[in-house]
Amino acid sequence: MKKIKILLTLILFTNIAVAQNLNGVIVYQKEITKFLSESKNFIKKNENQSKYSNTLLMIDQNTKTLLKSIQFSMKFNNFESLFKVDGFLELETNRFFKIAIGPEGSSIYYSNQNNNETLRQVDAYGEKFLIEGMPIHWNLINKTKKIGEYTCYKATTTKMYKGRKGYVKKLITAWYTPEIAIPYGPVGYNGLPGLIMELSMYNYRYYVIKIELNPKNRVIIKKPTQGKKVTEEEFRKIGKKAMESLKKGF
Amino acid sequence: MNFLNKNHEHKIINVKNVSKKIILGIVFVFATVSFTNAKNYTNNSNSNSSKMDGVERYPMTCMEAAFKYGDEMAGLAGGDAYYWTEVYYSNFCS
Repeated sequence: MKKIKILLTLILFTNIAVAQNLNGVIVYQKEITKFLSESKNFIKKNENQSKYSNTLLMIDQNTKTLLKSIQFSMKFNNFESLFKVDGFLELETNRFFKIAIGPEGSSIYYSNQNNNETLRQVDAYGEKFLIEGMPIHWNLINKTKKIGEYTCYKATTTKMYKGRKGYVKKLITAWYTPEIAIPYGPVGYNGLPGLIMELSMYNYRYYVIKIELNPKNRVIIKKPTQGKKVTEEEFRKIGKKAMESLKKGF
Repeated sequence: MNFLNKNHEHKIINVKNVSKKIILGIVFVFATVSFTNAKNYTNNSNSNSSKMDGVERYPMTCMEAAFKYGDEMAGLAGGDAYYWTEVYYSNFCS
């Protein structure tokens, strides 16, 4: 009896030790679920602007093809994660690359669970910024689906988006699996009780294509430090000013 | 004598009238040819800049198209309009 107790304790401690040393790389791909050229009144809206609509058709077709070869990786260790696009020179010189990855995909996202720090490094308006993230409030929903071999649970949150008619709430849906108990996900969406396997927001969807846990080479995460530190609101105001001066210049 | 002198004067006046007409004609022809050449050159240079690499270029309205694209994409795909406007302008206008 005593031997069994010792054995069980050993197994328990080993499991805890393994869980605490969990590190790895999760590879995501992105899919665009709705293109501008596929919108309802696209032809009618642009019937007098054939050049513009032809360019949009060309952009959408090329972006769709290019996205198949773009990958995003999320490295993580005990308490940190870093999400960014896997850039290759050949891809980056493609003129549809920036359209394919979008503004969210062209940023680097860092999070630290120890001090609840989240940062987004972005190159915009001619300089680098470090945007401090806000905590995400998730609604856990009792709905499941299978993604690969993992049972995933649904969670939603909202993001306020400033449109032409004022602020609009956008729904963000995540499917996470507690079977991989790490609180990370793509494009800075963290804080769920399991890895986010799929994330849908706006007109795109990120989904896991590869999971590599505890690889031979230990994962090293470098916290982004370059850039002017700003809040989301300050960054939005800088963007608004930049847009206004761009419009004035033309 | 008088008759001979008058006849000579009359000939000089006629020659002067003819040269004026010829000079005016030559000037007119040169002006027309130059104008036609200039017009052809302008047409050619415009048609060269309107299509390149299979992508249609809009020398006059591409910035407007970029702003329109920026607004539409910001509504559809999020992010700021500046990002989409800049991407469109730098890739499809220059």
